[in-house]
Amino acid sequence: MSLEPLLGQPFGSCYEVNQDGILYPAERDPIGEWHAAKPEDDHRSNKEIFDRKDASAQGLSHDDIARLKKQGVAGDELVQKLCENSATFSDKTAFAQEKYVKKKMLKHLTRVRARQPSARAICEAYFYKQPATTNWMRYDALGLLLLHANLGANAQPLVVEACGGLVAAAAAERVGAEGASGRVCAGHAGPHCNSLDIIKLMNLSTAARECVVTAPLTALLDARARWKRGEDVDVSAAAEETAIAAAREAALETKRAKMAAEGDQTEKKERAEGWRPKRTAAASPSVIAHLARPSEGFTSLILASPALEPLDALRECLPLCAPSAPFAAWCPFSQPLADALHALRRERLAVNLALTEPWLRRHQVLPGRTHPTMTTGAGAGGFVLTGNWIPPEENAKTDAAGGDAAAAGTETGAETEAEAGAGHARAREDRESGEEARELSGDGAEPNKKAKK
Amino acid sequence: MAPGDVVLLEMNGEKWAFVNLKRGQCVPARSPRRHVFSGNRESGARRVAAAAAKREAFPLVARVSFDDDATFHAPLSHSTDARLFSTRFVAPHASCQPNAEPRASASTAR
Repeated sequence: MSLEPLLGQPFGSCYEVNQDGILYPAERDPIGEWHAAKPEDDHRSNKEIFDRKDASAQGLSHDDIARLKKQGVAGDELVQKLCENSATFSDKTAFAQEKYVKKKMLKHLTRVRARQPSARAICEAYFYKQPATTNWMRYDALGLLLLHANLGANAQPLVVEACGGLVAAAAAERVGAEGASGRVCAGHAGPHCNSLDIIKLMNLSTAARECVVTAPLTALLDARARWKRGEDVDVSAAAEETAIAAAREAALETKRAKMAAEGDQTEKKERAEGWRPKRTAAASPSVIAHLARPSEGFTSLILASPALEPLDALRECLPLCAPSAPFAAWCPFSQPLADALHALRRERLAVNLALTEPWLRRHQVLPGRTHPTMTTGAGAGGFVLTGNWIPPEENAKTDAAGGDAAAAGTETGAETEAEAGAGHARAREDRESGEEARELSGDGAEPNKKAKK
Repeated sequence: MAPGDVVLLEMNGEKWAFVNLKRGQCVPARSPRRHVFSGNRESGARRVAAAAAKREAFPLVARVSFDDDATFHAPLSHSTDARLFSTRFVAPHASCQPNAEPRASASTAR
């Protein structure tokens, strides 16, 4: 079918495909929409209707239907004819009739909707079509990650993912607003970056596309260590960049000379209409030096790489973040994240810690007929660990301040920032886990009583 | 939509294709959706019995967790449908509440 009718139309347009494969504009309602707004007072019953194995209930044979299609009968007309020729249609209840029509519409009518490839739409499409590409990342889990990582304009998140670029693309969609100075760093554990092909599907603006850079985590950690040792990383990065540029120029010169010697016969290719660059750039040494600067730090961390052990990855990556930066780690399994939560709490590396499991189930919502879809299949959404990172040196300061206060015998309770954060986290955890957690433990408000004592 | 845009084509709410739009472009039109359940009760029972026999003949020793969860069929999509989102707190459990354990903060340093 020709896609010419799509050009110049807004995203979200709906089309019907006729027998010749031509797109015709159609109403926006999806195919097989339920039309009955209210349940009718219907005294008919389906209990007398039985399956007829020889399909004798339908007056039209396959050949008749094929002939009608060949004659160019539209899908809705064909469904109408099927209903008229069905021996049992009139005996069915109104609901059953509606169901029958919907099923036949789905079979004989093709509707096409041109959707904008937003992060949610892409995630949904991949989840149902090709989930291995995005590592079974479900769209509500993706939303949770973006929410807890506090992504917005001017943010500078570190994204370590193995979901085909879905998380990095979703982050770029939020961070890369026109005129914003945010930057998404897609960190990778190995020497080469994981596939980020989904970024190319997103129709990102130039600003949003250019705000994504890839960088090896080892380079970031190395640069951070050198900054901490007091080395001037900027100078060495500038020197490195000059050397890279010189090498590139030399290679280009050699290529030009070779082409001139051979007599260049190749014609320069013309770009197709609407061509736009879609490549994701690797971070230059100076950008890496800038990102790893201790005074800079990433504003948040998103970890969505099941191949990496969450605890080890968090231990390595969190020091690259700014103090109190939120982080969100996604994993298809709960145990690695539970271990990470326990370790982070024990080592006092984070506050506000929570491990959540997103849950999704499709429902039919109609007056008097609202219920979960019987054949629902949402798959597994994985688990999300969230929290705020606290640098160890802040803990040391807190302890020292607490010790001094105790020595002075003051009971003023002047809490440090970190402690206030911890208190806030406890309040939040109490509130959110709330009654469910208390019911599980069966000890009611026991923890609070203990605290009062 | 303009040439160069990527479009997510959704057919009958359940088939997806990413298309990089160009002028004069054609894509294969897919056939409309088949019946959700094409058969009667007898054929359904036959399929179930055949699957059971196959499982007995080729028992699965170890299953990958994702393969086990073979529920990724394409859903029907209607505007009257709703997806209910929810989150379940797995941790911290009540027994792990910060108030339940000794407070590891400045106040305990006394």
